Amino acid sequence: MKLYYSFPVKLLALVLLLILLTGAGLGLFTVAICVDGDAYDSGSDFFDSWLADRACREYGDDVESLLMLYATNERQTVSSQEYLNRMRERFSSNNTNLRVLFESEDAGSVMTLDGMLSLNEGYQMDGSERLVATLGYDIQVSGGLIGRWTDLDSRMAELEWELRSEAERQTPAAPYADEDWHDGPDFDYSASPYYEGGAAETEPVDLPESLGTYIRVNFYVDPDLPVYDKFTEANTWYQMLKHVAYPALGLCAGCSLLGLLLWLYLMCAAGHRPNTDKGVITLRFIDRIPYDLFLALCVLAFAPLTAMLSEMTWVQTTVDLELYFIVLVSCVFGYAVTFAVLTLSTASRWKSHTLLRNTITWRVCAWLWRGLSGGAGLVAGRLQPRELTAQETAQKEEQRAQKQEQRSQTIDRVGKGTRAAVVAVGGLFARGWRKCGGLFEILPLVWKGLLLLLAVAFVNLFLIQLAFWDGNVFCLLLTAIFDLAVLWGYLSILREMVWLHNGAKKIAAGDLNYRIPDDVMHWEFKTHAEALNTIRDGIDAAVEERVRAVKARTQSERMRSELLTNVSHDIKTPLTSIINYVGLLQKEPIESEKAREYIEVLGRQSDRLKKLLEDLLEASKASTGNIAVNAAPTSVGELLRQVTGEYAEKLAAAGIEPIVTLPGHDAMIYADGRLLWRVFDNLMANIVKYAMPQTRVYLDLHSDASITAIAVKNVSRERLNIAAEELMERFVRGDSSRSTEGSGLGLSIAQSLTELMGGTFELIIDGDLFKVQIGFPTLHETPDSAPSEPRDGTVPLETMQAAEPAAAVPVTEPAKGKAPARRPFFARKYTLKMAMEAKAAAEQAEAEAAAREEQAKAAETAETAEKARAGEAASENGESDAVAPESDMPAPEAVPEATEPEAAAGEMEAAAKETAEEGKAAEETAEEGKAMEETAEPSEKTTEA
Amino acid sequence: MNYTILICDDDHDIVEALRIYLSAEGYRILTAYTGQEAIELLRQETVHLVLMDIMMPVLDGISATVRLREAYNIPVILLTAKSEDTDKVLGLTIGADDYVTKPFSPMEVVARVKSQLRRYTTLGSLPPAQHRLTIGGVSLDDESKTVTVDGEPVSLTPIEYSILHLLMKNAGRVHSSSSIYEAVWHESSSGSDSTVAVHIRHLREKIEINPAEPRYVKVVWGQGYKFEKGDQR
Repeated sequence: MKLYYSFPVKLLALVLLLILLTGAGLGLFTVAICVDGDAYDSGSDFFDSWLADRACREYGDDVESLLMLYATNERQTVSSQEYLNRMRERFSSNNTNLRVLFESEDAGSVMTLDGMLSLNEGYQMDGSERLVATLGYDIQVSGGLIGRWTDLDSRMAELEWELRSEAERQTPAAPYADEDWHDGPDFDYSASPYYEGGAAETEPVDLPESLGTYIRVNFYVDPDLPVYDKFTEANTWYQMLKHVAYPALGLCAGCSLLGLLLWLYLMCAAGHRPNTDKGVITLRFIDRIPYDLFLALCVLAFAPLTAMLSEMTWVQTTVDLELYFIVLVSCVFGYAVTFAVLTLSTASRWKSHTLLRNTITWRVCAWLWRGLSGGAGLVAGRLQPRELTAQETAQKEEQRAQKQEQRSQTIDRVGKGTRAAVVAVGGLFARGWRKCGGLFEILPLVWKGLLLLLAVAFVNLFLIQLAFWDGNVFCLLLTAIFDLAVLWGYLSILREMVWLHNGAKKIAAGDLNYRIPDDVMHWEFKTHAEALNTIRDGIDAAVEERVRAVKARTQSERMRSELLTNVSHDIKTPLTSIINYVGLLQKEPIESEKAREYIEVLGRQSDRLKKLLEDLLEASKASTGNIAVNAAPTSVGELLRQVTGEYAEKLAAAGIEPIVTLPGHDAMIYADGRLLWRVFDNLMANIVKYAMPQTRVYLDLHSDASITAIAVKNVSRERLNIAAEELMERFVRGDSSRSTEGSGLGLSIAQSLTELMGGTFELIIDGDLFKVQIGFPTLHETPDSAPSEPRDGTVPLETMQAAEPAAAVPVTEPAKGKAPARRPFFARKYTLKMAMEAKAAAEQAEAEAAAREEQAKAAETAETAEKARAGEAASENGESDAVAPESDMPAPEAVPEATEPEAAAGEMEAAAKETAEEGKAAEETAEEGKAMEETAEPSEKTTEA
Repeated sequence: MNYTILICDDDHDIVEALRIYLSAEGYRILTAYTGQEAIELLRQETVHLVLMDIMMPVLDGISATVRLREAYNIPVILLTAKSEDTDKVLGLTIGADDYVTKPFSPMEVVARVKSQLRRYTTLGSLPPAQHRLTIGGVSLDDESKTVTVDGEPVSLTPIEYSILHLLMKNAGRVHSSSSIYEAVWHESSSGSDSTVAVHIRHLREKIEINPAEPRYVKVVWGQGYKFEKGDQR
């Protein structure tokens, strides 16, 4: 049944069941009250119901007091008179519907009594009054009363006793009472002198002798209930009960029926949970509580509820109805919950066959049984071999000697038997103790904790009780010591928890060398620590394995790369010889035309072999990442200019026109310029080889905030009937004929190198359009983000040749010590271009200054100026016709000297101002500006001079 | 003058080929096949230049060069099959003057030998003057506007001369092409103009033995150009 497993359905059913049970309970309760109040008896009315009796009882006490007055003849005293007046007021027909009629057993004395008390003054009985209750009193000799209800209502039997004891208490001590008599008899009134002489001992429970005056008190009620009093109240309640009697019956029946159905469903579904197999019973926590304990708990829950409910049947007339109802519903609901939990849990237990097994009784019995059988086994085990040896000895001794030895043997046997018994008992105890410990071990942690807590509380209570009992300081001390011990235990538990916690955190953080000290830990903590350590070991092993695998892989890759390097080195030497001797052959005067042709082929192919070898090496290194990447901020624009410059002639020779499109700003990326050049070198070589003559090659640079992309586009000479992916593979060339020069490794190398530097390399073939797209993250020239150091430790070649680390980023070199050492130029945001311009100007000015100083020594200033003017013209001419400089040509450097200084200075000032205006790098640029001004100063001075 | 060149390589064929090429240039050739032999030969003969292979039995080229440098000042050109930068740097740091990677073309070796010999023999012969800039084998006379490389005059266009002058004056410093343009042409460059790059390419072809692997005018890719400061030995 699917419904058995659906949690929402079950939950809904449970809630409904609780509601229905509550309804049924309420109904039942009401019905009970109604039955009690004779609400179902259509023939009876309020005055027959016990509610009227109850109302009577409200007045009963006063009536009794009056009788007491009468009995003790104290009515003449002033206080008694006041009391009497008050009573008269209370019982007057203006205040109550009750009519109290006293009558003596012996007729005639009624009037006397009535007149004496005169309770119902001014009221004439008309016969319509209903008799509600009758009380009989026996006036005692001591002035006490014995009262009893005489209308034979068994319900009120206990009231009789109550009344009597009430009377007993109010009995004034007899003036001639013997003190000794107070202890003996059960009744105080037996202190009467008339019973002196052991009468009480013979029949102590018997009623004492009557004075002979029996008084019957009849409680009549006016059926019209003209006055509001207890009867009116009780009548209201009675009418209400009459109203709800049948609906309550209906409610009870309906709710019970529906509830029964739901309950049956829930009983069937109990223990089934979603996502479990059919027939598998899952026990909840509540189902694991030992059943006897569980039952006791349920009874404990029932008990106060029951007490409360039974109390509530009694106090109806006076309480606040709303509160009453709330309490009632709560009680019934509590009943319902307890009932549901009890029955459903029982069902689950029954289904999982743990109803009896999971009880403390069962466990204790089983444990005892095991202990006993174990002990018995121990005894048997101890005794058996001993008996055997005893028998053997007996046999031997039988052979050898006679009765004497037999006797000694018997003694021996007895001794051994005793010893065995002692050992067995001791073993039993030891085993029992061990079992006890074992029992504690196997208890769930929660139970252990509870038991410990209980034990600690108990011991504490006991010790404190002991201490207060006889004020023993030692006990107090003991309590303190005990509590300190408990505290110590608690702290050590906490400490172990902290160890666990820290250990787990460390292991989680990847510190696999950490071992939780499980050898010094205890109980569950120890097992937990061991489990954690095992996890750690597992992870450790896994990580080690992976590291080893990675190592092995990189090792094999490196070995492959190394192999390739070594092999190619070995090939290089013979290849060198081939190239050299082919060269020699080419120089030899050989007659045969064919031979010369062949030698030509040899030369070409050996050159190609050389190129192939180099490419192969590079491809291998690039694809295995075996190349040091010295990444630095690189200007892509500059690189493209350089590349096109390098290839200008080759492109022109191939009839290809390069078109470079650069953005307005300078795009910077973080890459190794030399490797980037190798990328473009390969691309351009490709273009020179394969591009269609008389076409253009486009080098487009796009740069935005995140990506700097370079697109190289050209049209292929041959038809490109090959997929882009294929073309990227090593040794694959567009023309598949392999006739043209090249290794087919160029694109692969370019891709590997680009990716090595963290860029993307994409090849797109669209018809004959061959397009390569290279992307790099744009470098933002913020002071913090731009690293000025090479990415790894290797210093570029140029640097080492120059043996001067500053040359690694030579642009950053300060202007000949005049400007303070500052950050690389690319490290300044937004001002890059300006800074570069200013720098160039500064350099120029500086150069001029140096040249001027030099010249100032040789010639006079005026002469220099003249020369400069002449040089200006001369250099203009010189630019137009590219001839070798004549030896007597004036210094071209004179041109800037003469014409530029002022302009340069102005420009620098402007630049400095502009840069100073820039918010972000204001300080730095200002500094730079100052430095530049300083640099410019000498040249200005010399000009003025 | 008849210079003596010691060729040292364990590959006899290479030694023979080099011997033929260099003999054709009129040099006297000594041959050795291990580093040890080379050192011994050096003790007996006057040698002006050594061509040394790195990977050799008995005593490898690097160790031999180190030993050689203890007593001699002559130029050493390493022949190496290793093309990694680190190998080249190692060779140059231990005292070699130049290197040629295998497989080499004989003409390049001859050119480098000539260059080194010229530098070795003429170094210091030119009187140092105010108007002369000399870095490595390149010498620029600002008065006569002439440039010599290893003593041989090189013919440059005025633009190439200006660029070289600019670079040499600030040797070791990187100049972007736009700054070079502005310094030489005196006008601001248009962004995509590669004129400077073309000129520098020409300049390299004129003053370098191998323009693809320049010794003096170096390309700092993506940044600009610089003149290698060089060792002022």
